[in-house]
Amino acid sequence: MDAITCRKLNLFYGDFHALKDVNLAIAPKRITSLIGPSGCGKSTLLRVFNRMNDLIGNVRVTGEVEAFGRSLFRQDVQALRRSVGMVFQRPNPFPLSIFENIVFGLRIHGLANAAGREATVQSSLEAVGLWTDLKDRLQQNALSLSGEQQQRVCIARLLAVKPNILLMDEPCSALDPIATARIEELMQDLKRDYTIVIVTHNMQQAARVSEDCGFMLLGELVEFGHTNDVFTRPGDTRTEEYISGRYG
Amino acid sequence: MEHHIDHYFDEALEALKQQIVIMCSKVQIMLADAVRALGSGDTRLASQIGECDHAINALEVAIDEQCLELLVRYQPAARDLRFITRGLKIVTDLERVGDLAVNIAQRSIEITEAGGPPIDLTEIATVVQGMLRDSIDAFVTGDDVKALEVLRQDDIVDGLTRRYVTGFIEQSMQEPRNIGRIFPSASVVRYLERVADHSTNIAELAIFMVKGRDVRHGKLL
Repeated sequence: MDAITCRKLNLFYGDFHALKDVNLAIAPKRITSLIGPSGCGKSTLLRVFNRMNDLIGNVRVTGEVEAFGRSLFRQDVQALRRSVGMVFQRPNPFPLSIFENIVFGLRIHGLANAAGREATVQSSLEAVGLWTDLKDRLQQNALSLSGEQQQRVCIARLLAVKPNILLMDEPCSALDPIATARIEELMQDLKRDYTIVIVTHNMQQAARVSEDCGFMLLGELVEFGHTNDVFTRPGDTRTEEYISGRYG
Repeated sequence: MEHHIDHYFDEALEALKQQIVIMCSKVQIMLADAVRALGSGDTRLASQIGECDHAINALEVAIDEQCLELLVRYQPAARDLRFITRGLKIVTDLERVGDLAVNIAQRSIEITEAGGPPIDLTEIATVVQGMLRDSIDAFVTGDDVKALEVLRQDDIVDGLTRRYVTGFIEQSMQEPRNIGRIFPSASVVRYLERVADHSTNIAELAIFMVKGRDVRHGKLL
């Protein structure tokens, strides 16, 4: 079963038609990248997948979107965001301890007792490769960590509530190349257990990390396919022009 | 569609293309001279062909470096990526055609000194030179139709090779004293057949460059 399916998805911000008849099937436990110029709708599409657009007024959505066969629009939004987590451009840990950041989701969803919380902190930090470094300073404020560590903590915070799908919106754009490489390596580790959808402006990053890639332009999903095909033999002239840096 | 946003990338790609065109032209001239030296018995011309090989080797190295620099500097995609990676491959085929032209020239001296070719090799030489020319044209102009035509001609060359080899075997049995002309002539036919194989490789590279489909080893479009 596909992790995410869109059928004739349209989204309007007021009169502005931001997503146009998007049809898409994202396979589970793979990394899928969405690329395209600024304003093409790729972040808007990503935000549909955990209904972040619900927070914006004057948004109208038509069509159907399912996560693992269940309609996104006919399920509890809190439950949806637990199973479809999102990482943002800038790491956004809460101004709390590392421990409290990780268990934040557990507390608001009432998911675990004290022992369960400690076990979850350990497993989540192990999954993002931070346990060894941070296990002795879990009470330290998360904001004191490096940018890369903060981003890892944000990912660990998602993992704590056991999601199926991780959405990443330019997760490395605020990081240096070494930190970027480490996050990309982490994504490869995580795809064994999670479906990852990443929006990126960095085409080399899309080529490096993703198995599947979609190119968007003016709200339209122009092309979707295996990343290798999209980058070596794109089927659409508009994709070719964009990824090879040409203009008409 | 024609221009990159970064015009320096356009210039670098154009420079690479020019270098490949120069190498193609030199290799074609080397083969044509070798065939002409064989047909006319011009041993002086034949002995000069080896000198061109140094220029071909230098071009192979220079084009390799240009391709690597473009890959590192621009991280190309789509048809630019296909052109540059095929550029890395075509130089190997061209360099080997250059070596084979030198071999033909060396054998032509032996054949001339032994009294000339025992069998007229014009037919196979003409077909092979045409294949090399068309495969290079297809690569340079991105003409996949012409490239497919080159692939079809390979069977013609294989048939001609078998016919020539049979002829040489019969001649060597009938006129053993002519073996000094027959052996090097048989080698020339083998060299020409290999040039045809390299032309086929170049045509396959052209098809990949245009269509993005790998047709090597008999894979069809």
